[in-house]
Amino acid sequence: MGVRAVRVSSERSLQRLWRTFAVAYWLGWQIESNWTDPLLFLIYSVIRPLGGVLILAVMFFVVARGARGPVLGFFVTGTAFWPFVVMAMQGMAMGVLADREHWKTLRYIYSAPISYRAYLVGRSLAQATSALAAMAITLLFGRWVLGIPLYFSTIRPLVLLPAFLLGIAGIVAMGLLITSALTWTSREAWRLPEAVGAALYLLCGVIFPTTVLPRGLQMLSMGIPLTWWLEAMRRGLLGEHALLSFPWASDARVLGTLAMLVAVWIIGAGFAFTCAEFRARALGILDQETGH
Amino acid sequence: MWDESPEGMGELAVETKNLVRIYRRKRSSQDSQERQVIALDGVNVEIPYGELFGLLGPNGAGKTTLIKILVTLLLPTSGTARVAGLDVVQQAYQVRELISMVSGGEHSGYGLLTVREQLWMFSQFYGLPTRLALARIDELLKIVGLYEERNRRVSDLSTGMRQKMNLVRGLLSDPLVFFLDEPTVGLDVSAARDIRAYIKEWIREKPGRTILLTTHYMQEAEELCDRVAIIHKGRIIACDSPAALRRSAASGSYFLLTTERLSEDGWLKEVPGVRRVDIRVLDGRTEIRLQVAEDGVIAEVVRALADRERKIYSLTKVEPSLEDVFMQLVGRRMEEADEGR
Ligand SMILES: Nc1ncnc2c1ncn2[C@@H]1O[C@H](COP(=O)(O)OP(=O)(O)OP(=O)(O)O)[C@@H](O)[C@H]1O
Ligand SMILES: [Mg+2]
Repeated sequence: MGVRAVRVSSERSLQRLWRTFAVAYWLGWQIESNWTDPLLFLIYSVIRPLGGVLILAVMFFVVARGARGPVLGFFVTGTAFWPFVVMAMQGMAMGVLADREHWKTLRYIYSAPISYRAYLVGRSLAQATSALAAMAITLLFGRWVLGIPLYFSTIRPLVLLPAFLLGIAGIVAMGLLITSALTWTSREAWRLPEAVGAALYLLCGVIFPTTVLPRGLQMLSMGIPLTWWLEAMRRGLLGEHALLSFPWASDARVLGTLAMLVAVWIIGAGFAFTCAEFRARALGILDQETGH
Repeated sequence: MWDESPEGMGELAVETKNLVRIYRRKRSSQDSQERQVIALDGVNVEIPYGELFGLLGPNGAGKTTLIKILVTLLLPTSGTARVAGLDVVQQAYQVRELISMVSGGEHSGYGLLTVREQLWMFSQFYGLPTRLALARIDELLKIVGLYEERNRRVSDLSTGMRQKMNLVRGLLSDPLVFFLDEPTVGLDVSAARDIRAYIKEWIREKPGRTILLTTHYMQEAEELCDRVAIIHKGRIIACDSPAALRRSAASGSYFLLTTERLSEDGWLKEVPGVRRVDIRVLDGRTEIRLQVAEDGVIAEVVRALADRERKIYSLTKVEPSLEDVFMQLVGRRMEEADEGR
């Protein structure tokens, strides 16, 4: 008996890519918003980020002794955008771990004819979406309560929008890198995204400009797209009032560098992921629980 | 998705050549020494389209390892494996289009989704249009008797229900080659029976559909499979239809005769071709267990009984079971051969 597969045309496979992404996003969102109690959901998505801002604000006023203006703006914007990084990275890495260990679906998803990367990006962005609320709350609080110099007139959409999109792409690349690294660390896997997140928090100019860092670390931070992303976001939001990590660079230069770094990181992450995938298949750990 | 068509994707649905898989495992995290486990040791399997092929073996024999390689989750250490003529390493993506897998004995599924949502999600990974997917999901849920539960959360399902849902998940994409790893393990009798019944029906519904099923239940292999390979310590030690396998353990087959009480039975051994006689007396009847050189010999025994004017109440040929076959090949009963014993 002869049997032949029906070929999937390239147009349809592009559609398949999109669909995989969309379904993964849907699933990620179902998991993220799985709150049986709406009150709990409110606390989680509104009160918690608000609490985070308050704690940081108190710390800030103690350290900076009530300094206002640019320094405060720097601080608030960094705090507002950082959750994207944490959520997207965790969404992807924890997504893999949870699929494998908790839901026990990884082997079925992986052995489906999909781009597993598209799936991971979907899961990652679903988590990142929940950072939108935290961002909005932090910015509003910063503007109306702390009084950071954020006005409609200071917003530059032509910088802000491309910066935001590039940044998301860069964050997803980071997530892919960390997810790849998971195949090398099975025991401490759960802690990895958090540890990397904490290191990046100090390195990428989130709460203080990188100019404060020692020279070596400064160089390192310049190789990470997140540093340039935050810089571009601040320029796009606060305009003239933005305190900068790279005061010598023009907006175009910042965006250009960001774009270039993101491209490099995406390629690098793609490569790392291919290696990790191969390694996982070779070792047979794709569906093996760490408890084994 | 696949079509029948004269020009081929190879003649075989599954083909492995000298497949070897070695796991390397560190004894502990500090230890640098590695322990090697040879899970597959030169496996050759050929499964033509349309066959329900069973892989029977004790725990740790390598059944799951073989399936994992065939469904592209695991790379072989050496040797090749093809599914529908496609190499599982080089052409993994094309292979995935044509297969699906269901494993028993695990609680797989997104507990927070409903049965229907979960199945819809998987259908999307195979590019099924939503309307077609939902229709197919409902149809399959009705067949396995899970339709009433379609809007319940996956986490609320019993083990048997979950397994049925996973069976539906595996069937959604209409796979050409369907891999079932111990599909009925840990299920109650009726759920296991339902699943077996549907598997049998499914494969007959459309020519070309092929199933590779692993099990360590003898009766399951006998009842379901066209051919069975017995696997032990990573090697296939026998492969044939269940009937032929049983026949191959010919020394195990015997005749059981119940007759009017025999006052004297020494003559039975004298009948040419009779190898062994065991006699038991039950409620005034004699039960004779006979091993003969070939089936024709039984006619001589019957004639001799007639000559002595003894009535025959029954005559049955008792075939050896697959258990006997395993016993003969390995020298131990299958549950004794489980790893770790
Ligand atoms: N990821 C792994 N790492 C190391 N050894 C493994 C791994 N997976 C399986 N093994 C070993 O390989 C051998 C074959 O295992 P496999 O799971 O294929 O057996 P099986 O026939 O499916 O058994 P069971 O009936 O218990 O499911 C066993 O000795 C097992 O311990
Ligand atoms: Mg197994």
